[in-house]
Amino acid sequence: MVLVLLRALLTLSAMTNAEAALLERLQRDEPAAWRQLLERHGPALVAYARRICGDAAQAEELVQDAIVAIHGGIDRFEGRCSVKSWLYRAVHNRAIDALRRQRRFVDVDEAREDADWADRFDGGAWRAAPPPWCGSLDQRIDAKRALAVVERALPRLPTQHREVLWLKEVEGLDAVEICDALGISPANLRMCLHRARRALQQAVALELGSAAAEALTNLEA
Amino acid sequence: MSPRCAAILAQVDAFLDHERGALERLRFAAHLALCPPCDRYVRQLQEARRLLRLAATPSESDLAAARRLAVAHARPREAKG
Repeated sequence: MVLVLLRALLTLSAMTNAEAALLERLQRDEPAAWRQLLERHGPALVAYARRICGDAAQAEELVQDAIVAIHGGIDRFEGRCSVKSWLYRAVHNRAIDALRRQRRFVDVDEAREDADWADRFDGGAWRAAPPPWCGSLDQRIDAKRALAVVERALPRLPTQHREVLWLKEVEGLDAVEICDALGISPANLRMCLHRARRALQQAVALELGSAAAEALTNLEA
Repeated sequence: MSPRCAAILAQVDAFLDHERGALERLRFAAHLALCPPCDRYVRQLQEARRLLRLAATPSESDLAAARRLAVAHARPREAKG
């Protein structure tokens, strides 16, 4: 009895009423409900998969496989996490498997990243100020230029950094949803996010150095 | 610059995510006001996040793929029904 109540509480806390209603319709296998689910979350899932695997065709396949698996297991879904986390987790698992099979999974080298960061300080103070960026901060850059910078910066990052940044900064998932989607603990997420933001700053800094300023100027031409 | 920069920046996520109390946020902001390197670094972190969001709109190909998936997944059961 206690377990049943606990499960019901967990379900209530993880899902909104609208999600619970949608889940019921999915479990009844209503085509319109599946269409609604994919119309609502499909574009973001494909964009996420593309950022992780780096290939549009493969991204579509990964999301397709994830949806088929979700459809097969819909009766077993108890709503212990949000529908969004559940969808991202299905895509994440398949994307990671595919990257590992293709030997394209890039692991985080925590020791090296932390050592590189520590090298920037001496006794807790900056050895040298971070170099300024060209074409940004002072002159706000637009979406087209941002896309060019991010397209080059993201692939420099380890797989998990890209995932955490995408789910947190772009999709706006909360910490619980990200932990559910990626299967990591809150403490691990905090460290991952900290390192990922640091790495993103570094990767964008490389893009917005003097060479990147020239590329941005060419984009304008 | 101060010997506290590294320790202050270890807390940057709480500052960016508005997780700390007003007093701690004030302390963080006060350090940034007095420390140009930390201020520049935090601005660059914020700018990198902004660029990521700016570039995040699903592309035409993402939207087309999602439409194909939605249609393909609903079609067989609609035919049955």
